[in-house]
Amino acid sequence: MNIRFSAPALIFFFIGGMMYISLNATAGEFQGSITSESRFFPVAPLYPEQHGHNLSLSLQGKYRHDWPSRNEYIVFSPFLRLDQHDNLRTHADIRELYWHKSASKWELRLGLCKVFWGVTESQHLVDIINQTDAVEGLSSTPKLGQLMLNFSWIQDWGTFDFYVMPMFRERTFTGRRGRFRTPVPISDNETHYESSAREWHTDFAIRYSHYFGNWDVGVSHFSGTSRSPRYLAHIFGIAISSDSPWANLTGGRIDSPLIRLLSSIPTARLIPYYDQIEQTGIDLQYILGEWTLKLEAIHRSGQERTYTAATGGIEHTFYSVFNSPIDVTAILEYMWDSRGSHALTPMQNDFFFGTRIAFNDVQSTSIVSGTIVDAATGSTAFGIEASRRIGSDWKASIEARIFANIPSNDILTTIHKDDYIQAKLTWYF
Amino acid sequence: MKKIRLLQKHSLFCLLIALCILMGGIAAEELSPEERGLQIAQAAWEGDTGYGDSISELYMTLRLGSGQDAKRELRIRTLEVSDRETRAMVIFDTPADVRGTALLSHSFTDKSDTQWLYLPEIRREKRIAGGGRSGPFMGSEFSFEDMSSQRVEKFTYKYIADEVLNGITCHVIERYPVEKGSGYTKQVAWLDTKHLRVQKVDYYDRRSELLKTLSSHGYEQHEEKYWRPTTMEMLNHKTGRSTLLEWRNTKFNNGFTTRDFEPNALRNAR
Repeated sequence: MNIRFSAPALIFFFIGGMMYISLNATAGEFQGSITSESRFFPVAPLYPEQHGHNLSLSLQGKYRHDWPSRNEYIVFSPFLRLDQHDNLRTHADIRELYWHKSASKWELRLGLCKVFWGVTESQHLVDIINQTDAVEGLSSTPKLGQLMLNFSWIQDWGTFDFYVMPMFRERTFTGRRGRFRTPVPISDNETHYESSAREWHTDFAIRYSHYFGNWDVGVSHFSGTSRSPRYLAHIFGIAISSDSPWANLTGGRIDSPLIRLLSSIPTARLIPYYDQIEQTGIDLQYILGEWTLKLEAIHRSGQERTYTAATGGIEHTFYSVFNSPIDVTAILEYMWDSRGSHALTPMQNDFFFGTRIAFNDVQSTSIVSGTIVDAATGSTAFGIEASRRIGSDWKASIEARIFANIPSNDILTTIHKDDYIQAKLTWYF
Repeated sequence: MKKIRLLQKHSLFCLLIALCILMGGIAAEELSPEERGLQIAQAAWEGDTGYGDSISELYMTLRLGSGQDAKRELRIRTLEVSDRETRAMVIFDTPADVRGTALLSHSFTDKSDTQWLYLPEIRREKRIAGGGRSGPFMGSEFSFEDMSSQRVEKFTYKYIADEVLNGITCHVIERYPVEKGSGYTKQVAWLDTKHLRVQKVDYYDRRSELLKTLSSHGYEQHEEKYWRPTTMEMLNHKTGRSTLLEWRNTKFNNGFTTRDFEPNALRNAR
């Protein structure tokens, strides 16, 4: 089995492993979970090298050691996945490996960290610090650890977070034999960057966040390497660069007419291109009794034309329905992107309807579902997941995902045969 | 005549004063049951507040019948911010799939609680809407309502009688939840007359039927003032299930500040 490690990942794994061993001798414990995942794809794949069934095993660990008297701690969270068919999905990452210090008015974090910004459920526009571990799947959005220095300045009237990020992590992509792939394979060996510093460009970000009565407010700005790439076509040994007139033919999208044409050429491949961008974001949440109103909006420049995108909606929980212990939450959100059909995302004029049923029983049984419908084309992506605990250390879940009415010019067309049913079993140690 | 009048005037004055004292005394003795109930609740609350901050480990045993048990371990930290505001953070240790999850609540006397839920997997703290107070807490027989602070203002009261319960003389008071989201129409509480500690509570559901009974045992005194039970048992009369709550290692004066109970402190909690 071919496990791929990038050089930085290997270095951090080594350091992390050494730290773990040295600290384990003194105190603390290593906790985590092992998950087996079995996916069944009922529809025949688009490409012959793909499979109808896939098994996978993943490990998520966490180690934390505290020095309470110094208000310091370190965290180490490694991740490893082994995949039956897709050698690119077999991968390792350090989700977290950082040192943290806190004082009364500030906090400092140094290392590989996780950061989450935002309030909406259907997509996370504002959340930009960490790269998406896209090879993991469609439903959850795990993120790769981001190397950073994060200083938080904490005042009664809000928190300012400053981020300095000296190293960029590339997005992970499904391999040739995996499902949810592009028609033309993506080659991350030849990644292009706008910055001559490539992945060593230093990115900066700042965020203000606070709550006022029933309001939660966040305002952020990011300056640096875009986490989401555009794609360049690479054909007969020639990369069509971003400043050539050919680049526009691909439109940066994986489903453009040119790329569909290229998919018939065996040596053709797509190369991710990471622009330098400026992105300002705002996230708002207002709570009114059992109602929650949410809004996220971004303004981005530097990635082709400047654009604005927003997600907004409402959430309501019906507690103890029909005098049972069951709570039902309903979510309605709308996703908009000013680029319209030129957007690099399929969520540019779409509605999201989600429900969450919490049975509030001893096993914490829950059923979560979500449907995204394109307001113009009616293309639909539907997902549902039921989960429950078994005993005290196990958890089982079943998930299904269905794509319907996908028109040929929708980005989702590349995965429209990838409906699946998935069973997962997790053991926590 | 004049003298007599003066005397009369004087005695009238005395009489008035005596009458006032007498009436006052009668008034004191003849508090309405509602006033008496409130007085007891207030005295119990006052005897229990002013502790500053506390930390406790909580062990829950869910008795599911036929010898099956489910366990939950959590830790609770509290901070008295002012007369109006109390803050609490609950950190879940088991079951393993919710390990590291934490719940922060700011409770106020004059407005509804503010709550945040922390999801460690994505490192997200999520402000959550109110309501759902009547739902079960972690699948146990305790509801969120039962687990939250029993502030005086959350009920209206009525004193019923004094009664001996398990050899302890108790005040019996009824309390009626003010918030409409409550799962109860009435609670009947037994508080011992000596220290005003809750010994037993009967909970009546929305149909005014007896739903659950809470029994508190093993009171220990902390800081030479504050009485805390070491075990609480909630029995559901309708299902026959019960939940045992054991409090361990309760400590006061931990030096907590409001900053330790802000949403951005959730991610550092352990």
